[in-house]
Amino acid sequence: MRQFARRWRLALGALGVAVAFVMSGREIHADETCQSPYLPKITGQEDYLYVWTLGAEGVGDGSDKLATIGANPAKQDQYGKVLSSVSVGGRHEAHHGGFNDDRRYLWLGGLDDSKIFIFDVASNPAKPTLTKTIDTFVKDSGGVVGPHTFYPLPGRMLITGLSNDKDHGGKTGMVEYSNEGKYIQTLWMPDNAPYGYDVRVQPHLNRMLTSSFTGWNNYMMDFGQMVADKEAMKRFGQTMVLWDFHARKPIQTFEVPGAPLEVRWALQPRHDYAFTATALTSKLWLIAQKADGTFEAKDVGNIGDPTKIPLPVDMSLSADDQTLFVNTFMDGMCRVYNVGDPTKPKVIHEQKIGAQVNMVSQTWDGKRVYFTSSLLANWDKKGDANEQFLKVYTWDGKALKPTFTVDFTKENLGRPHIMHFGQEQFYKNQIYTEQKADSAKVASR
Amino acid sequence: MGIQKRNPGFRVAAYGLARNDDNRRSDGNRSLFFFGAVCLLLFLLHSSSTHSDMHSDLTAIQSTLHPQFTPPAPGTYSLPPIDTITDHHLLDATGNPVALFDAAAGKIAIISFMYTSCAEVGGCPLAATVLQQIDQMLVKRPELARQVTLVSLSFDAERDSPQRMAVARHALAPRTDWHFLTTTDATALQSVLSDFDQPVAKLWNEDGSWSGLFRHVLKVYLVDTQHQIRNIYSTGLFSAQLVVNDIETILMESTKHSHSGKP
Repeated sequence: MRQFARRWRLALGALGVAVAFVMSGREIHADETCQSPYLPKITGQEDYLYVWTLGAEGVGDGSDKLATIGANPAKQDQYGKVLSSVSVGGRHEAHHGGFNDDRRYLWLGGLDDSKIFIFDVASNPAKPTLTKTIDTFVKDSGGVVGPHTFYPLPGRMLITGLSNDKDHGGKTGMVEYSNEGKYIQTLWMPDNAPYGYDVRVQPHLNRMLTSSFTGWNNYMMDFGQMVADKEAMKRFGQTMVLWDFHARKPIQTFEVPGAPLEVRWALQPRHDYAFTATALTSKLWLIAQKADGTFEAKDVGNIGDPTKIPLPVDMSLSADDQTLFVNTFMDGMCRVYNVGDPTKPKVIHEQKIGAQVNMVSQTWDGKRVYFTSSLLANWDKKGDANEQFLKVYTWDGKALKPTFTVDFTKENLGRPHIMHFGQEQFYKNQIYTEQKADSAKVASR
Repeated sequence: MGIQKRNPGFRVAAYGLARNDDNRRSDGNRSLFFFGAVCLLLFLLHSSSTHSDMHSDLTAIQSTLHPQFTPPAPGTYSLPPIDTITDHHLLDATGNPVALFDAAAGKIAIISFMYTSCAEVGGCPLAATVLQQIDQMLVKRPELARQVTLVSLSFDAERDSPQRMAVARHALAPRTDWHFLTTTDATALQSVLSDFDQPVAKLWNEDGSWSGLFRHVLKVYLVDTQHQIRNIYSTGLFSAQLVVNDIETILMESTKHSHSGKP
């Protein structure tokens, strides 16, 4: 009996430790937002920024490449410098990419020829290496073209397409591969919402949300030519689709006119909503769950002056769901919204980043914000306005203060696009075997 | 709008770097932590209140134990094979050698990698709690239970001896076919982890000593009778009913036709 009581005391003590540990979890956990909830987050200061970069004619070797930039101010010999640049050979319309579910491999896509390049980041985080190329995406998938969003699921990679190989229009689907690069399945977008772009999952609701852009014919066309082509301008997505994630089946379609692009689910518990921005109509939309469990999409405000077509592109939601950074490509602006009340976003800051701006990524603590300039090879501005940069700022809740800039043209790199964070200590811990662990232990001393 | 404001909340993958002054003592405490955490989760599981006055960090765990959605009905969706696993030589909780395929023995297997010193409530303890839920659901359905085996497989070859796995088994008190397995050594473990693509890494203290903890991505595998991985569960979408529906989906499919290996 005494032993039983002792066991219970021990168990209750452990229970107390468990509760304390859960409560302390927020202090330990840090870093970037807007990623798959299945992706382990890195903690603390990022050491590296990986930038998937379009090749530009006459700039360096002209090929698409993965550039690694030093991002830790404590490492002055690396900070703001190009640490490595790995060319993949040729121009593939480098665009988006994402880590696999254990963050060891970075998958990067080419929108033009649908090639996928897989880099090993874990072995040497300062110098990723190309380990595998998938050049059968179109064939594997049964005709999906333009791998766009790379979204890690447990043991798998979910990839959205933008187009198809029959007419190179906007009808498309999503494709799943195993972590090893083995094709699993294709999910075609529904007939009443055939276009695709981004995908994000909210696991605890078993809901997946997709958005819609345009097909290969448009995104590979010269921007001025496309805007002047009335027929081409009709071929943009007008819809978002809510899916039963587990069943991979569409359950609701929303009319969201003007090409809804990035999907950003709120991160906090019970914040059962997501934002998107429409490129052509320059609106911020809220897709929120109603009391009956279904969702509704609602226009919650303009982004800049829609009549001037500022072209909202990337956006980033802070980890506390309070602050939303929205870039507009044409005027090169970043608008910062307070979205504490998601139904009434309020602009709290506006800042010009450059002549053009596309991608924005913030750290998990929201204190550092990274911007890159390129949209698409044929949509980027021309002449002097074709600035190609990485610009890094700190954010104090009021203003963006510049820390460093990398001129991607002067550095002979090209047109910088999507950014992902890397950290030395994170990868030191990504070691499997005893033998390797011992060497890591020595290395960390 | 169904929108409620809450405090900054739960982080799914929280890792701690504990001091490692006394390995044996800290190991013991961590084992107690694991079982204490399971106790906590069982308390949450049997708590009917969804408006818990406990810290909001527990909300995400609550949402796993009490899902906010109804899983799709069995047979209304497909689970295309993700990968195929090979057989592995392991040790059972009595210390006897056992092959993984023999442990599964023609059944659909739910294979959960874990370690008994896990200090992450939303990791191994959560997985063990959900497996216990599945165990309890299967007890009520003996026909289904006969076709399913649960496997808790340790990735801590150093400390999780068969004896310690037996303690885990005793604590979780399975009522259906639930194996508690470990590996003979690091080499055997590596082979299993590579096959399943289960990332596990020791977390090191700054002085170079092992913290006693692992970084691991929670993955629980649904493996069919042909050794094909049909689903991989992780925190956030890992409810007992969902797993049971997946098992039934595979069983319904095998009654229709023999699987071709392609979706």
